[in-house]
Amino acid sequence: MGVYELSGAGSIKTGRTLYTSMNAGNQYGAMVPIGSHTFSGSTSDIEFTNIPQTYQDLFFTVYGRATFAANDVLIQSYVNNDFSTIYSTTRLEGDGTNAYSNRQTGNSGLQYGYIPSANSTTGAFGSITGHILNYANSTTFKTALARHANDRNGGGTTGLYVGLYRSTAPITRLGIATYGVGNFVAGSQITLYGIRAVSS
Amino acid sequence: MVWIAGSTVGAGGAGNLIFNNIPSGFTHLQFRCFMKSTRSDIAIGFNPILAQFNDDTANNYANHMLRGDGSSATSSATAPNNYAYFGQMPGSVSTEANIFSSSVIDILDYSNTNKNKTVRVISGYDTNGASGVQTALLMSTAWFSTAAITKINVRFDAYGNPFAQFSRVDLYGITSSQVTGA
Repeated sequence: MGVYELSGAGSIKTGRTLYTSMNAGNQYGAMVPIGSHTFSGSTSDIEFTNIPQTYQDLFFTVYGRATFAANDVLIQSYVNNDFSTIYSTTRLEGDGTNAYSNRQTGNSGLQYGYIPSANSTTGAFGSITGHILNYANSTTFKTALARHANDRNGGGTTGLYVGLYRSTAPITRLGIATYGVGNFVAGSQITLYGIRAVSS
Repeated sequence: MVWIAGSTVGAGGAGNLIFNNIPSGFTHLQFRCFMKSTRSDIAIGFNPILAQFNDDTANNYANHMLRGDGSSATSSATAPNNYAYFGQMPGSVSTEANIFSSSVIDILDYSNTNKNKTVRVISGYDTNGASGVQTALLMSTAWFSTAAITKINVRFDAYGNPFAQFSRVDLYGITSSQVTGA
């Protein structure tokens, strides 16, 4: 059985066989862990550096709670140690009463969504998953997709955030942080994965 | 998760990206799309990425979406329809330069011959508040067919404009069996 891939540039091509058979012996995983960190409670961010440029996309997970004296805290990313106002976000969000959308421009980080913080229900952690496609591309800006689940037993939000990093530079460093609004509590965990294609 | 096939659009654009003879041995499929339309006459309000399964061009699809454009959240549905939605993409006006949408599309149980198929999508792009219409999008499509999905045609936009250079689509299979490697 063949798998056909559209190939070539500039026009519709007839399919060509990419490879002729699929079996367990020839398969390998496309989601590869790059790094993972479990917080001790005394830091507000983790930065992944020297990110290999051999993957197609990046995928990350955040399962966390913050120490700041508030109900919840916004989690953001700084890319390539760039804290300039080169980021923007479009949000789609629901808070249990209303569904709404807003946008932010001139941000100093990619925004991903909220996690519970010190004033929220004890033991409540938030969950964020994010995708950054084509992170190693040097000709396009970077678009991030992040979903968050921040349920605080009567409060909270869930949503989809779309972020833009207006730089064509490949992403070699990625920090995920509370941006100084408290630390991650002990036990919070962040993991970064590379998503690869067979040629990478 | 295993990479099955992919395509990156070269100079001049591409109209259709066809994935044929999709192996039936996976449990689920996932598409990962980084897309842009070549349309340049106007910033596009809603420019969906379209897809059809097994050459089915009939009205056997139904869609729902929850969309945020940076100002308001709206919900809509289309039934029947003759496309699945795989997300949305920006055009090529100057305010959208270098901006591509990201979309992740999941098709669970794609080869089951006892069930109709459901597509789930997260998609979006941001234009830094420029006159393009940014979007954060949750979409679903029901394809009313119990046929196993063996072919998927990811089509150029609803206005007939090809995909722009550097757009890409990658297809992955998600298996429930153990595989070697990472």
